[in-house]
Amino acid sequence: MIKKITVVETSPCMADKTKLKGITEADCDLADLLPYINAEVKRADYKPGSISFKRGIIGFTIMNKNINITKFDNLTHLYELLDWVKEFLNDIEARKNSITPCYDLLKYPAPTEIYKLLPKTNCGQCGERSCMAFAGKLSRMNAEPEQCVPMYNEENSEKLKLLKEILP
Amino acid sequence: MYFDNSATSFPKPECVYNAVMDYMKNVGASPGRGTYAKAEEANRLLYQTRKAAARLFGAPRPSNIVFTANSTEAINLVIKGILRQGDHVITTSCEHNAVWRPLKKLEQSLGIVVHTIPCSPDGSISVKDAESLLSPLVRLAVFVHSSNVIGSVFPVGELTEIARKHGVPVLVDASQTAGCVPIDVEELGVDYLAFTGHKGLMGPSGTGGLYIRDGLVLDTLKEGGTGSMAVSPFQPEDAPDRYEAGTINMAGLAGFKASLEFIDETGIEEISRHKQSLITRLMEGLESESDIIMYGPPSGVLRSGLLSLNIGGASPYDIAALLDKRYGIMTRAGLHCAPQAHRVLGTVETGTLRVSVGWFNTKQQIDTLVLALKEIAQELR
Repeated sequence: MIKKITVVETSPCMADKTKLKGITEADCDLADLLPYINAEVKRADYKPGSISFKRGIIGFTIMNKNINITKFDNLTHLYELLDWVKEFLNDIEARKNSITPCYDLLKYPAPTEIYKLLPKTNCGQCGERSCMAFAGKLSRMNAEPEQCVPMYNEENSEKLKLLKEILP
Repeated sequence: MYFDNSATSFPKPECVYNAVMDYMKNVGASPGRGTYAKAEEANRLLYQTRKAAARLFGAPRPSNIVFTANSTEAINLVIKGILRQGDHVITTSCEHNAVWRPLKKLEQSLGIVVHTIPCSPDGSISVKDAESLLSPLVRLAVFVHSSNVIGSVFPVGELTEIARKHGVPVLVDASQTAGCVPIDVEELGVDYLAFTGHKGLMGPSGTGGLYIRDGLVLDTLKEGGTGSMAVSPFQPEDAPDRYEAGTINMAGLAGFKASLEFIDETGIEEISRHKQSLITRLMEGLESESDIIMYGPPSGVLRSGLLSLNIGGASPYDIAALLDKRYGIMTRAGLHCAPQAHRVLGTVETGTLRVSVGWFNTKQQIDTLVLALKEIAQELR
């Protein structure tokens, strides 16, 4: 059980300078818990020794004692996230016996498969220059389907459904 | 014997003194301003203070709490962060100068229009009167939760419901009620709640804050370093950093955290019951003395731990001085920075003598005070 998580370092995010990233450290090793987290979190990126997942835009990476967090607003926000992650991980730890550990690695769909389903308008509303670039980001989980505005038009509803199915 | 707790509570719980000293001697660093272990300790301390305040007021997240130097700063932040040229505002007829002066200043500088809901001398206020004053021009409603002179506790939940029905955001000044009666911001439905740390919350002076409902953004009162997003020339958008420019009063807040924890352990209901029983005992004790005029709601009605009174036509300043000199009893005479409330009571020319109780006052002290006041009343006859 985690009793305390200490903030080791915070600095501006590389991708978005208006957000912060932080290195934090739990008071116990979390390595054994990773496959259980992988079983509980959808779209988690599990590798032996580490796991990454997102909650909204906030990214979490857990490795041994470290919990690294990206894209938070300020220190108060970081400590709120640490309260949440502590409770979340302690809950998984408490239910460990009833969870089947999962060692599956995340399979990224090919960007070309995703591209086929996108509207191909290259409108840029998602923040990318082209639909192909957006497909690349989607495949690596660095973007969300919601960023594509035309995708949410009535005529694309079938393609949106398919897209959500192939995304990790 | 200290009976001026509505001005500043005294004494403080022992843990408050210890926490201030411990921070100053053993932590020392500023929160948000460094990457070393002591700075992390300060960050955590500040966060835990925020969390304790959020918990006391039923706020969903610690970041709903912004720290300020006192209620006055919190109130100024909301009033000046919202009101613009020609806006209308509704408030009560018994506001403290912390609300009244910022409004009067904006009346002068921005031509805002202030509408007041009349409060009766018995400390009651009509919700219907509030509704009749609401119009599409009203941009803000400001209600004191309890006047620091009259002592009754206003039905801010009902007032807020009506204001919000008209789309008007509500600021509640909880200076006298925080730490005196249970407050739940979600239940009351308020958008902003201003509180101070040094009165009922039993913390050091120079601490206080503002609850801001999720999703609401105010214009800033001050700009400067926040320890975050230093590269940007502008204040951050997100609370609490947006409103906390400059190094925060961490020594005070360390003490404030301890007092909030003390209140949490003791129980706000228990504290409320204790203060109410002391005031009831005081009022019942003075009832038989016909020369003593007690203001505000009758005995038994919920009060924020205070009673204003006068003895015959005597000056309350003289009585306060006599109480101190002869009996060692500390009370407060005058207008209590709230001439508006004294206009309601008809005491703006004379002022009143105010007795305000705290968690550490006892029944025996109340009995001594009753005897002293009766003795003075009889001498003045």
